[in-house]
Formats: sequence, structure tokens, C-alpha cells
Amino acid sequence: MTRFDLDIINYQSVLWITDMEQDLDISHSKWDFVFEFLKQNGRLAYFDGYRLDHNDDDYIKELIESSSESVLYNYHRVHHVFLKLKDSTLTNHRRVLTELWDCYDRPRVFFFQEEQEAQHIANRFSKPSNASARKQPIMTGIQHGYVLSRGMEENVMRIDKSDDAPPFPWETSRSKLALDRLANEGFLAKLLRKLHLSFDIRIKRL
Amino acid sequence: MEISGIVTTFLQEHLILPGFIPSSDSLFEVKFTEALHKDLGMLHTYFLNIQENDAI
Repeated sequence: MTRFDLDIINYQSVLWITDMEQDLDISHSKWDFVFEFLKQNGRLAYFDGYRLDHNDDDYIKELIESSSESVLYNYHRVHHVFLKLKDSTLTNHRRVLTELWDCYDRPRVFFFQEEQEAQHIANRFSKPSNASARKQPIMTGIQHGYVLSRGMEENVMRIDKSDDAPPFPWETSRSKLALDRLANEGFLAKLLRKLHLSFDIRIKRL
Repeated sequence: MEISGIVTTFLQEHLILPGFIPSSDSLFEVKFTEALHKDLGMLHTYFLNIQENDAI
């Protein structure tokens, strides 16, 4: 599939892919296999940018204009946008999408087969309770779609799918480097804290 | 505090000194093996899931 060191976890309609070499850069050719699959199974692509993290409005407007064919939702001078992407943005100009992606704290790209699914998301954002709408499970009300986002770590790509969308064609395949890091970098302590457990587990190399 | 099922299973599988009290505050030592490597991967998946669901 790829010669790059990627750590893949496929778990209950969610896929996490960790780039073991660098922070997530969706324009890199190592992610072509992901975009090819998503475009094959969700012909319409939409960008959702939430929490603008850039202060040059003109630059962002330029990126929006060059990457998208329509704006379905725009809140507070592009603080939150939902855009229909041009086909060419994904096929030939993923660098522009990356620049747009980097302008937001919570960027996502949705892939749908039907236009009405996108409208459903746009309507959800438009409601006065926008903030709580974002807290709903991401695929609520979606029949056939995928959404690509950044994971909790800077080098993790996360992809969610709706129940009816075709399954991901990639099985869990752990990178040796990733597993070594889990053993060496205090992961168990983090997990125990997360579970509010007060004991500790030490890994011993005998 | 009671240890969650997934952690209990992990400890039972890999503990150097078998037999522990599931609600103690002890330090548990596990042996580094290939099987541990794999089960750490499983725990990590579980961790990612709860961490991201909490963050939404």
C-alpha cells in the first residue's frame, strides 16, 4: 500500500493513521491512497473549518475562493466555514487544501455520495445551538459518508465513516516504532490517569 | 478504586508475579514480550477511543 512508516488502527468505524515520520501533512503523496479511497466512495467533498486560527482575512478568503465552488455555511467572518470543494482541489491542488486546513484549529473534510447529506450538516451548523450540534457524534443523521480530521496528536489522521458507507479496506497494522514508543513513553501511566486509577504499571525488560 | 476490565485482563496476561488484589494501589510490574507489544496496541486503541470521545 505504501512504503512510508504509518501506524494503522481500524476500530469500530474509525480509522486512525499515525505518520511516524512527521506531523500530518495531507498534501503529501503518502496520503494519496486515502484520498483515492475516499473519492471513490464519496464523490462530493466538503471542507469544515472551525475555530479560525489565522488573522489574515484576505489570505483565507483567497484560499476559500481558489479551493471551493460554493459556501454552504459561514459564521462570523469565516470563523467557521463549510465549503463544497472543487474536484481539482483534491486531485491536483491538495496543497491549497492543506493551507486552508492549517488556518483552523479543528479542520475536517467530509466525503458524501449525495448533496443532501452535506445540506444536513450545513443545517445542523446553522441552528442557534451550533456548539452543541458539534458535540453530536460526527455521523449523526448521515447515511453514506466519511469524515477526515486530525487526531488528538499532531501526526494522527482520523477517519470516521457512517454505518452504510463501505468499510475501510485497511486492517489494523501497527508500526513497530509506534509500539516501542507505547512501551517506552509512559503511555500506561496516561491510560491509568484517564481511567482515574491510582496505581502504576511498570514494564520490565528481563 | 476498582480496576477496569480491560486493564485487569492486561495485567492478568502479563504480570511478572501473578495474583493481585484488583483494588489495591500497588505498583504492578509486567514483562516486556512480543505479546505485550501486541496488547499495548490493543490498550492504545481503547485509549484513543475514550480520549477522543471525551474531547468532542
